[in-house]
Amino acid sequence: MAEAAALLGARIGGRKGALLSGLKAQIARLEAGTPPSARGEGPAALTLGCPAVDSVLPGGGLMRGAIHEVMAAEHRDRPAALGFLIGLCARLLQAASSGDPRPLLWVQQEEGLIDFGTLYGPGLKRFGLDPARLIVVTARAVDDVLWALEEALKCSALLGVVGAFGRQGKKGALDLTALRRLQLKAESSGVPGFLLRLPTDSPSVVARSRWRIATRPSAAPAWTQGAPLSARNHGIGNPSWQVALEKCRGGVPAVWQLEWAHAAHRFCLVPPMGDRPVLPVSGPQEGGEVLPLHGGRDARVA
Amino acid sequence: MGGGTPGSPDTGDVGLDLKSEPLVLTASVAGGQRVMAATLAASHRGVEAGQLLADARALCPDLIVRDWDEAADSAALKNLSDWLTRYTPWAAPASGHNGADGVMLDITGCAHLFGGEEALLKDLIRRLYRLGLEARCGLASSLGAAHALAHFVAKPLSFAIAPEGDPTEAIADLPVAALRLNPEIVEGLDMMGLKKIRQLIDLPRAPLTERFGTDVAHRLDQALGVDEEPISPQAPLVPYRVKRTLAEPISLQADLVEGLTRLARDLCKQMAADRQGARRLVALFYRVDGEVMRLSIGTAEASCDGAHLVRLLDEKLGRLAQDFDAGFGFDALGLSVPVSEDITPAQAMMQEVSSRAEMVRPGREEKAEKKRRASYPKLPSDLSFLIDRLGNRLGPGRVVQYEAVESHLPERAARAVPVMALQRHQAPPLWDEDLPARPLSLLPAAEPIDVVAEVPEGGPRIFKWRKVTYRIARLEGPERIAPEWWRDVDLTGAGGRTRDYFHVEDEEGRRFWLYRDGLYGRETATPRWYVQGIGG
Repeated sequence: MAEAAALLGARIGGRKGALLSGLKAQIARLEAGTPPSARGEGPAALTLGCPAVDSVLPGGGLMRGAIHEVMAAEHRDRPAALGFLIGLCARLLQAASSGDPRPLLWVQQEEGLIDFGTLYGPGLKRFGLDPARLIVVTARAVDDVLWALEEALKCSALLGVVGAFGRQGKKGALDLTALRRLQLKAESSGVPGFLLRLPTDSPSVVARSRWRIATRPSAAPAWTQGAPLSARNHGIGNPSWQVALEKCRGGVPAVWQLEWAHAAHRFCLVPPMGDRPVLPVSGPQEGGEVLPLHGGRDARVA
Repeated sequence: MGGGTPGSPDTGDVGLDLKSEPLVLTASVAGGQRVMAATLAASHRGVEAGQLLADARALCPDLIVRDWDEAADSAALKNLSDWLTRYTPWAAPASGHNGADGVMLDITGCAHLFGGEEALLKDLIRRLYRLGLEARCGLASSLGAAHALAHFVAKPLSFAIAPEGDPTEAIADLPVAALRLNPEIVEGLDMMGLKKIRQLIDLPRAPLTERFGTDVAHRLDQALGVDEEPISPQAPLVPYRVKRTLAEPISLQADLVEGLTRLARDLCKQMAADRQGARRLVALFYRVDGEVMRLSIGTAEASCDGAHLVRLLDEKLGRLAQDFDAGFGFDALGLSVPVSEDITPAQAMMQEVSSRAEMVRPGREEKAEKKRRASYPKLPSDLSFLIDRLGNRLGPGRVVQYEAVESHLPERAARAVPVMALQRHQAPPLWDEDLPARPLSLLPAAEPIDVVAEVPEGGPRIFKWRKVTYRIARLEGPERIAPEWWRDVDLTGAGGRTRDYFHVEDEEGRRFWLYRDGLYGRETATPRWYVQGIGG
């Protein structure tokens, strides 16, 4: 559609073209729901570094100044969801210009820490998330987490805000008003907020996008290829996930098999099985199918 | 100045009217139940501290007896001396020969604020009386003399003031017991016929010291003001403090905040003039009934922004709500800054520096600039406000940043440092760039697991953790991490053995960081396996 519009714009040409593109931008803004005041500073969207995914997202990436939700497919997939989220945070830091020292604020609910452990500096560093740029806040009650998130989202001196929730009572639903307030605060400050939630939680209506992450076996690293049979299980590849975009305003739900490229600090598609190249050294791997979402693990790319 | 008060009895147990009932507190000391403290009513009947309980009962058959609780007594005295900081910051419990029995105040330079020494003492006695305490006050140029006057001259609810200058004449005719000497020494002096202080003054010192030790001469010199005896106040001296006595007690939060706002304005003016900002701030609320309530807040960045500081206090007050017992109200408020730090010129500018601050010499600024370059980045002010608010609501220890630590042991290689406690003038330690792969999260403590390994020294095949069995599809390792023998004396404890670490991935792709504790056959016969990290 975009190409058609561009073609049209080219044909009309001149002043009318400029007018049209101006109007289009205005419509995009209205659809996105972000007041123009919050725009114009820095890149508008947070790219994942994987064209296959970014092209599906409106604006070419995750919108800043909005709430995004990352959920694990199952309880045991929570570490995978955490990994994906840390990847997003690392992208945020990479996208920031070198003169921008703004830190990330990570708010976590104490309850989940015994099950899944606390963030570990050296591990974050390897992912490309400098621990010195991370401020970690631990709160006991859900209400305190929400309060801290709201306060943080008001503060444009932050690069991004993460809320990692533990169990929330029986319903597993966050207060809709509180979430709505988070979204409003994010809109006015332009700070993106990410909520990491348990699979049993009911998804929030407010979030601009929702990602469901499932664990997936990593590809064997290339250096293992000539290994003797006895050592075939040696070597672990890049962290990889089945990433389902369940909901996205202005985008299409889809499922990808993604992995994290440590050196490049970006997401990329897992190459299909068989003869894999070492790693996408020369440019990103284009292609990869986008399947409509049927939900769960069944929607895997063959 | 010394103020003697009778031991403060525990008034909580009965509705006794301390002013009219003959109550004594007793303890078993020196061979029997003895009176430790007596109320005014009891002492009118001849009962006094140090008497045997039996004697006291003979004098006053309807005596009410309670156990003496030394700890409660000294706690109450400590409270009282806190409350008395309304007169001077130098206030501390004074110790007599049977424990703490009074409060000493150094009112040098403070008396005129209350309309002179006499007016101050009258005010003090009146206020203490309202609290149910019958104070006796002594005022002199030395602590020893004030103590003597309070204990041996002043009657309850009255005071004795030594004439200005040399206190010798004022105390010369008092008994030697007034010198804060041990009862044994007093008895010994008595046996030698030395009953009055005057007799001691003219005596040669050498034989006295030989007979009774240095105490006599020392206490005498202290009382005469020859030896300096500074009061060390309970609260450490703080660089900045402001206080305001209110015309009428207030208790509403809005009123308190209004009062604090005014105080903070004065305080911040003082601090800004010195280019200092508060890292910690304590608000003191002097309650009408003699309690002092404290609220303490911390800031991530030195701040001399009164509005911000008051907002933090206000939030804390609001959260305490019921727990903050205003009683019958507060009649004085105070702010003190126990910890202050230099603030940057930019901050100072934002916060309206008074004209004096602009005259700081350039040399100092350059130095500060140099210091800043090799240190943590300064937080932008709205971020530091956010951190202050988070820290003061959730607790300063709950807002942290991870700092690298030079250690091979993974659980020691990173530590959480409260952002408010970060030493901003020090360069942060660097993270090891060449470290092999590490997990994204670390369990609070490594958890033991059951492992099936290919060979005793080989990698794991299957493991069971938290009742779930994981089949390992891929693994990487071992990475051998030796114990830090220079740190651990006890090599058998945690971190005392060599660990072999493995990254493993199960058939579904879940990742763990496992280790085998101890070298097989050398350090232990049956090495145990642990899971320490997840993900990554």
